[in-house]
Amino acid sequence: MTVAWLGMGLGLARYNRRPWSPALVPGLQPSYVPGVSRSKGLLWQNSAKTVPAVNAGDPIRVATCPYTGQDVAAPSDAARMTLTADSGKFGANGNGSSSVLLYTFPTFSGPWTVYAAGYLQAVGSGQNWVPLGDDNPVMVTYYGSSPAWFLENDAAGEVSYGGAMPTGSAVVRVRRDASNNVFVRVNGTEHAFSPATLTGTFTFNQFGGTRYQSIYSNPANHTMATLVYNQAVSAANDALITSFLQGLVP
Amino acid sequence: MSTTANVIAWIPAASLATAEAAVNPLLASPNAPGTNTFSVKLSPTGSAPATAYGCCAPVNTAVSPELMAALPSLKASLGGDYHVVSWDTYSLQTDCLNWWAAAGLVPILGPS
Repeated sequence: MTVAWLGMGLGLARYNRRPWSPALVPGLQPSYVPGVSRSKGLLWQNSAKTVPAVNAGDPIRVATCPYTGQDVAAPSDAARMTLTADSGKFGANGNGSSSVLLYTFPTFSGPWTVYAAGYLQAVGSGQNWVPLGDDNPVMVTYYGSSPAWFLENDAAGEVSYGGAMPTGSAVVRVRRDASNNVFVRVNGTEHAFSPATLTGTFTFNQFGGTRYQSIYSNPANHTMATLVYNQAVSAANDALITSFLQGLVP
Repeated sequence: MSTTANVIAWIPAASLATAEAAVNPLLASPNAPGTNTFSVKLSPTGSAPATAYGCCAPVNTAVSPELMAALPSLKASLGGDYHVVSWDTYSLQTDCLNWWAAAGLVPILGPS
């Protein structure tokens, strides 16, 4: 009996230490994780996917999501992001004026959760970090001039949370729950947006910039991952995802 | 040291269609329909209408040597200006915004 209980205890301990995997948490949408895509040979400098992006500075025309297999792609060579490397951790940055990778997500009308991991070196006035954006107003953006996080829906409804981002590594979660409450969590501390709720729909369609407002991530801000879920994420799974993202930043 | 250079450029608005046609054959991949290489609207005040269009394009010089070699002749035929900055040292403010400003051009931002 003692042995059996001991075995069960070890099993639970092992269960609690299991790493995040895409199959573990339902609702994962095509995501942008340049370092993981790179390691699997899924980053490309051209749309024909014949020239891989491997080294820091290589432009990224197509990034295949390592989990869903779907492509996110820049609309032109001039709009390509470029591969970055910080202390051995690969990510990507933009040029600050036109860089985007496009993917049209389904419209989210219920709860959703977005994670972003980055290495930020420019968070002051005029210096932004844009994990998700759109040609429409919908976006998840840190706007350095305020400074504040902004969240907008398809109808240009907007909420914000005022607070400067720290420089260095950042793991951020932005979410809407089933009651339309919206939150932003920065490095483990969650804040309610103001106003606290945001109804309506969200149709995200680009990583790295929001052409609607000509707001783009500063090149000094490197994105290691943007994970998108079309539903709420449980606390246990959130811990696994957060741990995974923390391993991607320097 | 990366082999990527950022090519920062502007062209007069009247040259947009000609410039797109001239540049397209030199790209590593074709643009998506409706997308321009020169996608940044510029004007003297930062307000519409655009009097010029800009780009800040990452170009892997090892992959696209023809594009790099064609830059002087493109400038001569299209007008405007360009300069090339190493990706390793590129600064948005210095190499892009300040450089356009020195030509009297400011990006036109969308509605907020």
